[in-house]
Amino acid sequence: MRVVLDLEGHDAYWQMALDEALLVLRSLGRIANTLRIYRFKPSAVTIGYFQKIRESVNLEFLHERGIQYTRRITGGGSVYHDTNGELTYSVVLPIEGALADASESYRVICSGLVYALRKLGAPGEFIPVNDVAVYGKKISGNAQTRRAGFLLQHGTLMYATDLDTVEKALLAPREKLESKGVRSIRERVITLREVIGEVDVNALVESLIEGFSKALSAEVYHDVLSEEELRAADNLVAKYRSPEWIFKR
Amino acid sequence: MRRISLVSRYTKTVKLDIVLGENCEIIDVVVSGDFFAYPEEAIERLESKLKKCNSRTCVEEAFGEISGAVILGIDVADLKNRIAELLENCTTASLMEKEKVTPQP
Repeated sequence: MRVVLDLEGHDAYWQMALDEALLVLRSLGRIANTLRIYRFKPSAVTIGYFQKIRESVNLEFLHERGIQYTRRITGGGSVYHDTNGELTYSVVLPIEGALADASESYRVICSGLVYALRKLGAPGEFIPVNDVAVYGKKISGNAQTRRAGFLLQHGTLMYATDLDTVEKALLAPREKLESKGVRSIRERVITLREVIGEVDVNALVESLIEGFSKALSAEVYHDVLSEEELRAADNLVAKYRSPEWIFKR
Repeated sequence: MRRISLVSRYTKTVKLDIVLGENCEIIDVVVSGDFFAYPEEAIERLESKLKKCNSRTCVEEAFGEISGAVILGIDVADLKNRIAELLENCTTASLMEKEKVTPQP
């Protein structure tokens, strides 16, 4: 499995376009299985494919702060991607073996995150359907889409996310928080820094690569994006910027 | 026309924003939430099939259209039942309303 790092980061439209481009190219047999670890720069919000944007994020706050937002091709909930406190990963793989069952595939891929967290001293655990938690609080959300026999899963790892901004940027129905026994989003989530102290981002990246390698039983090698991948992503950026896509629901 | 929001919380949340016509038929419906569906287009097919439905049978047929899809985080059978009940209650309420205004001989 190739590993492509983008720790300098790119904007939300590019990152989401590139994830979709990699899924398409993988399904066409143009590229190998690929793991990306990247940042959103500037910080941004993404929402799930089925979410209504106005019910999921505080648009007024995002506009006031100049925070970008877009819709993902994957389901799930809204996420604040903090440039200085969150890493995102994505992986494109064939749907086979343990990945054939959708629920099980979340468990398998998320076990890479659990491994990385435990290696760094945080007792991570997978919480179905799609979360990884430490001490019962969410530290990673994950989302997947499936096309033509291949899957794209991307997810977050909050290592030092500004949780005050999370609280203001995202809207969570009161009933949903109550069902999880908390009163606010802030109470429901945790960062790696809160668990183990200052985080060495390079060590975190290495742990994630090792974790996904073990989770997927795959040897890994570092690589860079090809011209074809860059072109394919470029062609999709306009979609992720477009009001038609963002305000689809 | 009546606008109704039906929110159901399972492992994930699903919200249906439904517009009902005068004869309790679904004129429009938008399904939203933080759930997962594979393929995602199944939900758009469901929305399309639910339009014009005014009975449990029709709702069941509409859900039959997505029986091959994998949906995570939602109890699909319960959701189907809630929509069917909404239509049944609407019909009952409308009938009672009509009886109320029927002129007495």
